[in-house]
Amino acid sequence: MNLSEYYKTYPDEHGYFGDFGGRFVPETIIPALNELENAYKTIVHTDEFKNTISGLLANYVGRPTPLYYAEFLTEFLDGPKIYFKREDLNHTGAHKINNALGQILLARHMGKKRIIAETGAGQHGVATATVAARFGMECVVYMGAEDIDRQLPNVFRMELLGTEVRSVTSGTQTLKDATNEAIRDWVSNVQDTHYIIGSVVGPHPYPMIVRDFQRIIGDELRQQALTRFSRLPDVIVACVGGGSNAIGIFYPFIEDKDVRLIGVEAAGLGTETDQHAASITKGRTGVLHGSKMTLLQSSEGQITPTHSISAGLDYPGVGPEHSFLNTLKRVEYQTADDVSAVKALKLLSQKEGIIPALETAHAISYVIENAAKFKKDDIVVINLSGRGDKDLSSVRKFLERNDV
Amino acid sequence: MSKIKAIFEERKKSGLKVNIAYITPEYPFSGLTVPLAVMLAENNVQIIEIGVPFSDPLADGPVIQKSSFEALKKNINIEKILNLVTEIKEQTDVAIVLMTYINPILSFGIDSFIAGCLKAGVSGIIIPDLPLDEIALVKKAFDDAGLDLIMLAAPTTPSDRLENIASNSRGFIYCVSVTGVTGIRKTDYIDQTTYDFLNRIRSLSSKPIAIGFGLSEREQLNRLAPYTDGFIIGSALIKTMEPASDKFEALKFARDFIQKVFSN
Repeated sequence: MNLSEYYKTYPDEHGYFGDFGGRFVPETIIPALNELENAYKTIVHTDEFKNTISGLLANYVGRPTPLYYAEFLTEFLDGPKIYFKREDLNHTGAHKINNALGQILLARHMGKKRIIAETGAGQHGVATATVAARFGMECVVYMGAEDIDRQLPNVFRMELLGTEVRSVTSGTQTLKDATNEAIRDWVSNVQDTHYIIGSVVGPHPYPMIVRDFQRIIGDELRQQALTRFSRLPDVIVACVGGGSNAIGIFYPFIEDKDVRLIGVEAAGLGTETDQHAASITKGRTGVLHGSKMTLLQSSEGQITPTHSISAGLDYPGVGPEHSFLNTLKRVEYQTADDVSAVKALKLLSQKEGIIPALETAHAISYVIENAAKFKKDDIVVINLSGRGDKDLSSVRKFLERNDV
Repeated sequence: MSKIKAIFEERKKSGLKVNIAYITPEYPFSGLTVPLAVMLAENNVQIIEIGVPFSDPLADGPVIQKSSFEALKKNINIEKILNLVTEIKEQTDVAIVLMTYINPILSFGIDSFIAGCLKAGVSGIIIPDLPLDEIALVKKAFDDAGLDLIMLAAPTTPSDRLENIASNSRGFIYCVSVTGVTGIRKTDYIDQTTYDFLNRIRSLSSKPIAIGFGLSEREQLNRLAPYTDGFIIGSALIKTMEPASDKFEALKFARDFIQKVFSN
């Protein structure tokens, strides 16, 4: 396809990116999706909304985030010039707040009183709890019981912020099941509740709205690159679970076909095992959580359990737009496993004094392991999507059992 | 004419409601489905809805979630369910409807699914995560095969959309009694909102309607009787059988419950 038509074509009026997307949800919430889509289309272009959100992004979130030259990692790898887009420096420590802030403004506009969200690593839960506190709204966050165990600091954070964290014990007790439970809550309380989905997944218009609130990452990068290098980056790398940080940094470059875009999925214990979360690499088309996307599933269409050391990537699907970008071959999807992610986390901590989130460490790991494949004067930007404080106990446990 | 539509017309002529029971296959016991279906058919149930278990049943409450997971543990899949339907239809002419999320159908293949349903004697399909916006995926193939796509309407559905759902739905219109997921609710959950919703559908369509989600007792059915052509009971029937120690006891519990709730 001609990429120059991309922005005005996708999603189409039915919420599809090619064959992916749509609205596969119970009838009860369809009117709420229409309400959300209308509210979004009406208010995001108003000066009032733009001023409110840009003021908060600057003074509450701390944007623009820096573009940092990782001089010592670059020197150590003796490969391309590596830069980090520092989303970890946002308020609450990850890119998730960009979307949570935008959506709570929409919720307020629609007159909703109550906010719900799902969370895996807890970063989206914390971001949602934060904006709910900031705007004085009641908030419930669904989190898988297994994720609560491995991300306890974020659970305490949400509770301090006044949010009720509900433990989800059904199914695999991770992000997938937390999302099911959040959707069930929304089906039951749709009149007064807004569901802030944390990734570019779910029924239309969510994948579009979340993308639009996250594209600020790529928009800023574009400006920063033009100012500093007088050209665009050669390569942009981001980790992909549901895919919000990746879409955020990729999207403004989709029509720039010379910019290589690389998404890194979680290979867990290895893509040759059944213990991974590499949806695009190993999955096939199906429907989960309201949209058609690339999914890890059995031959009978049952969603299969996933594994990643990183709770935020431990999800069997990937957003419809990523599914589509993969079929277009516009984004290359690669993988990194648990061990290499932990190695990357250690290396980055020691070389640059930055402890990244385990999710982010997958993207860094890919660049570390493939440094020799890039040209020396390539500018490679990695989306440093989150900080690693939440992962300290997981990493410590992993290092006790594994020699990396 | 559609078997389901015929059932509604025939019952209406006699001034009776259509009784619909939802079951999860082989739950709580293996070998239960066929005798359970036969028993239900002998006890005033005209349509049996069999749930195809799915790993992520987002329209279902805790009772059906649990029964679905148990069925999945027993490796129940579409093929096995179609075999059970074939066995049921050898013993009784009760109408069979499958309730399934869309993903298992997509994996099975839409054409193979339709062919299997026709061969086994399935009359209709309910897909809770396939709203009006997405029915094009299966609608024409189902219509051509004479397999009823039974669509759901919710209290939140605006009237113009309701009209569109009604005109596309085959067999009957499945009215969701509450803004929520499946599962037993208190007697008093039915209120003026429910009656208004059903009246609104009535004023927009002459197709038969049945109400489900939340129903568990005779008193609720009595209240709703003036507004509907049929009733659907699921979670309450499943929960009734859970304390049983074997399939024979489960059958007895189910019979006692269904005789009490569907008294005519």
